[in-house]
Amino acid sequence: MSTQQATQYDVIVVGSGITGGWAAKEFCEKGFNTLVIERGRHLDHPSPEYNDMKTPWQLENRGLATELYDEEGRYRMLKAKKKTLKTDSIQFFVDDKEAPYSYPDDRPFMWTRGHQLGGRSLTWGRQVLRWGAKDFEANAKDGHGVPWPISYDDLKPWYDHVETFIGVAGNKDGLDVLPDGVFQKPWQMSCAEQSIAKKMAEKYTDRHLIIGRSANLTEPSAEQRTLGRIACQARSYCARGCTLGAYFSSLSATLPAAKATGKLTIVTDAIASHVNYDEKTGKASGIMVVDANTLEQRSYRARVVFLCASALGTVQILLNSKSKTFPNGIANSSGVVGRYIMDHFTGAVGMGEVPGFDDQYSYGRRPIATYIPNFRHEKTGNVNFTRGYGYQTTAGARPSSGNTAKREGIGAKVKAEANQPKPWHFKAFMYGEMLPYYDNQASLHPTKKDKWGIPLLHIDAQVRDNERHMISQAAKDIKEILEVGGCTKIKIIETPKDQHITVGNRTHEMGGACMGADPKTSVLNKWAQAHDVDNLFVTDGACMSSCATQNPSLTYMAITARAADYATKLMNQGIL
Amino acid sequence: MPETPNNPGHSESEKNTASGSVGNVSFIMLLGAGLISIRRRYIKYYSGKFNVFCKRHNRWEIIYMLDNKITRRVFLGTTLCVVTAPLFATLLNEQNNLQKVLMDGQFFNAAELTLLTDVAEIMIPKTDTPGATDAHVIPVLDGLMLTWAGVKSKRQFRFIVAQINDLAKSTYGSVYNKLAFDDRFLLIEQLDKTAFANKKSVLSTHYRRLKEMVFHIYYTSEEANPDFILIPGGYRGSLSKQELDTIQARGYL
Repeated sequence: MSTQQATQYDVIVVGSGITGGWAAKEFCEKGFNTLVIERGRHLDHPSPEYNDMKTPWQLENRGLATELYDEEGRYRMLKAKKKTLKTDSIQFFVDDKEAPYSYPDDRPFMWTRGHQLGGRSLTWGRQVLRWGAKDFEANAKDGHGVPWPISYDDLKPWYDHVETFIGVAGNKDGLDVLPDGVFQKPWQMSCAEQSIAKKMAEKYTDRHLIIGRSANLTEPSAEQRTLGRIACQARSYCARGCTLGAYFSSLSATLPAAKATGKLTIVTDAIASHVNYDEKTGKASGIMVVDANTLEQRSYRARVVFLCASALGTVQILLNSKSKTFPNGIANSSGVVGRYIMDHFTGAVGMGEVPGFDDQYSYGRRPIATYIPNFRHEKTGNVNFTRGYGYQTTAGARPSSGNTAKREGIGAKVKAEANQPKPWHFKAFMYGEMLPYYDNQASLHPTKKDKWGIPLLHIDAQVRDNERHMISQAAKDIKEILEVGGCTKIKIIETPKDQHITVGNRTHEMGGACMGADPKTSVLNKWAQAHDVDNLFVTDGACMSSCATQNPSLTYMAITARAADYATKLMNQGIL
Repeated sequence: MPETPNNPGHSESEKNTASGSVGNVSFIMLLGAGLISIRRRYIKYYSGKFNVFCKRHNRWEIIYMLDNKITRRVFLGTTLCVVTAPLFATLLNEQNNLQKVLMDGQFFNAAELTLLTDVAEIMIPKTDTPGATDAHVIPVLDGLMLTWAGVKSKRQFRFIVAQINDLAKSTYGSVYNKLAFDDRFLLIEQLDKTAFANKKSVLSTHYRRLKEMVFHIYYTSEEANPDFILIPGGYRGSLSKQELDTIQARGYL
């Protein structure tokens, strides 16, 4: 039995994470009454759940999550990802036993979720990299996936818009493959990183080591200070939540901005079950939710619906929104909803010592890595793959000998040798572009449901030969780069071809409701508006038609702000 | 003139070796056929060897470790020891230099706490920096057994205490807490070597687990992290040692 809420909102935004917060801010600031529906619990900012002000000895259980989780089979996928469950931030991650999903036994998919107000924007990596023109052209050029209906130029002003608000510390590197943006003062590179970058610049014209572009404030603007945000203090405890609001999250920035307008309503503990579709008008009429605690069903009405529930969360809602017109899920006349699931993947890791800096040290915990952008957009030489890869890299802090108990030895000698400075060490992790494969699919499980009565999402995605070929070349490339950079004791780790690579491991899952110009082959148009349902928009990772090599959140935000702007124009014209 | 703890020179045989750390800890050494007990003496580390100041001979001497006294039976054996209880106040037993815990803890009993406290201090002794006892490693472990440990870990930690006692009995004919410090040190030192040499034994698994927790608790303690700065205030990636020390002393960039 469901109840219908009396209030008719202008807009419903499903999800309060990185894109939901943006949609809420844009609509509220333009005067629209906006309802944000979040399936997780309410959090304030700053929250008592933040652990960023705790020393190692103040963390619950000295940082170790209770072993009861293991015994009860909880957080299994999170443990597979992080090796050790820790109390500093586990509260911001979902227990897959409580909120299960499905995958083939031989192809586990790693779906990392954050069910709380603010979603995964509390724990994201904060590396904000624009996509370049070539990234938006790739599908059309090589024929994989659905051609993007937008170009870099379409998004450029929205990248500017988003960067100005969130605050990005970055260096203007002048690279076409990674366009510069609106930056605050960049983080420093360490002496070791500077040395490698200089040697690479002497050797290469296409391969660059740059400082990462980080959504951590270094020169907060007046607008950011008004929201209570201050400059990052280089603690690098971001995933614990930031009391200072120094890194961007929807909880610290977009939602407070939206709230300040007086136009925002937030409902938490409300799990969006499906989009209600009005057969008469041919439009979405609102959202049906299941109360996370009472299981009560409620429906909310609005003129426009924005799905920002994360790529796979949104796919689940779309597929579960069945009606006479859309028996296979709303906006799915193409049959493409759930198709082209992607993620970045690694598989080649390079590392080596950086000699010559034994008298140099670092101070502070820099909250961002360095980066080598993709230099393989074009097929050159004898490479046998399409697209390319970049590397997330770092030598930000001089390593120490550590204090491991996993070696023989006790007593004063072992103690004296612990935590002593070692030579600078550089590490590079390949981040490859996975092709958009039609057969990489998320669907509803035919029989299994969660405790809220919603069919489980079944995710079947895998890397294929193209990605395996990339890994081989990426291993060779990073070895050469480390040599050019003057590294010694170089070690390369390459994932064997027969070893399973878990898709989702990078937490950059994308696709499932891709944008495209043709309604027969895509779900959304160039405004991230459903081809089939005019007042339904999808602006989270589901809308992505390819995944490039850069961290995607900045692009999601730009697409969201652009789509919201478009929707408000249609609303003002009375079209929506 | 020979070096002494108050005059830290080098003996003839060691005068050209680099000096290591010097600490005020309990220790033992085995010279020739006999065990010589030295309590509360200085030790130091030279070129991969521990040296201890021997009062009898008024000189620094290398420590040789006992190799073959722990029986195979004990290493392969399993004995279940089930004890319950709550903790803490200590009294130094001057006979064998053992800090005896007088009350039960939340999980371990007093005897277990006594053994664990001693083992932890042998693993991470007080030197010129705090040791495991200073860092309250075992009281913290006792609490973690209720808030962190699962059934398997609870069993493991109980078990390792019993196994160490079995080891003590089969090696020296007495429970661990009644052994002289020299014997206790050698026992744990040898156990550590054996545990890493044969990781498949039950004793090895349990011992290594205990060691991991002792290290984890110690190295996440305030005592072991005197230079920890919660709010650095910024990042610098190219500092000389002097510049770094200046910032560290200030506690902020």
